[in-house]
Amino acid sequence: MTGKYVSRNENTASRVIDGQAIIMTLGDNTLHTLNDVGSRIWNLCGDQKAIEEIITVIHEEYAASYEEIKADCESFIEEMCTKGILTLQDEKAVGEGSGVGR
Amino acid sequence: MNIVAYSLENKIPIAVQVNVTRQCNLHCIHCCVGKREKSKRSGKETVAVPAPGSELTLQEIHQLLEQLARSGCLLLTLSGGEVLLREDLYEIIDSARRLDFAVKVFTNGTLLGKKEAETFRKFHLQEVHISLYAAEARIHDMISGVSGSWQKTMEGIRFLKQEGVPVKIKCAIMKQNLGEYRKVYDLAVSLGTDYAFDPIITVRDDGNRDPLKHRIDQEDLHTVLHDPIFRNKGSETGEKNACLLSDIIEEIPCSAGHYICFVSPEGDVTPCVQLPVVCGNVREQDFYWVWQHSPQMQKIRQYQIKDIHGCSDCRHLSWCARCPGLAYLEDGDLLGPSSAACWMTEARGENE
Repeated sequence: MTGKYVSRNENTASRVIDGQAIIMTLGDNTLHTLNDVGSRIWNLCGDQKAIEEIITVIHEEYAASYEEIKADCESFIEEMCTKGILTLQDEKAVGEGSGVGR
Repeated sequence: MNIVAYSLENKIPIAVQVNVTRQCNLHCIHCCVGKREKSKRSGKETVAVPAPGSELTLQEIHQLLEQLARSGCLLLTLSGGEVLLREDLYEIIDSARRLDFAVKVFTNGTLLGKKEAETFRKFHLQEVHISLYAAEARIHDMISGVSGSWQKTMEGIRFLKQEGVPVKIKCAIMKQNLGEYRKVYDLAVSLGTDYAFDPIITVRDDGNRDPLKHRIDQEDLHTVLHDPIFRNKGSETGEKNACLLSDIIEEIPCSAGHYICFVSPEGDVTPCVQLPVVCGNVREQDFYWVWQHSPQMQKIRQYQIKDIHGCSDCRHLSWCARCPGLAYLEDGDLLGPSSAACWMTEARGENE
């Protein structure tokens, strides 16, 4: 995942309540709830972020080794992409947003 | 996390319906929208044209959506009237999607062309619900009161499907289309849309009882409710039942005011679209204040199933899907027996 970028999938809706992200994937109307770290990553992905940037922020905020955080973040992001919650990009997006309404 | 349990516990209005207009281009015989007048053009009784300034403006709706988002609402339904008669509908949906709501749109589909369907696709809507009353144009048009409406509705559905927008065909079952709902089911399957059927024709939101004469009789209702397509998949009624039977909310009469809410085109906040107890108005109060603190909303929230009177010795009690709103609208008592629920429950039978 090194060098890749991540952002929210446009086909989602979400609300963060008491720090916990509740996300609906609109393709299958499934609700997903994320834990504290997952919710933090979801918030960070409001704008497209480099994966390294996310790992750095999480490493600053949570007590664990960089390597451990990196592995956990990459695993989490991969799972979220599989579920249609996040998407990966090879390049940094130009300008803000790509679709109507997001 | 169980979203219903969490919303209940934390008093979050997770699902809110906002009706953005009363205007409609159809004149459906069973429509629940009140405030009627005779059309000068067609002579038909139709929904009165809203007085200028009576319905929420785009700016007021934008403020409302921000308040709803802050209140924790995730599931937003935009309905009417016919929503596409609002020239600023796209701005409303755009505002809702920017605030990250899951948006459902209820429409009759007659104003949906290719361009509109393309725009709907770009919004990533959760679902578009379209009313279709028959597979035969003549019967649908007789119910909608507008010749040619079936053709336009079908075109709207096809345009949305071409764009990959999730569509649910909704069919109210009444005397006039009793022989059609199975054909509508076949049509929905062939088009690849979701579907829902509902035999509960309600009184109008102004208390007018005229639509009730279109309800099917008890024997036909029994047949409908025992139809495998009704039992296996889904009906609007079935979804409500599933909700009512949930262990989580076994003590409350329904979800109204607990985790669902409704805002009228004029800004009135009521616990549900079918429960017209006005708790406040978003032109005068913040939605969240009304939701949390209005005395009417708090009173609705205090009601429990044990407070319902006149039903305790009913043999159907354990599987009754009583709706407090319908009891209030039809029978005048929110906590009394509901003739609509009795009609449904007796037809459903004891083995359900």
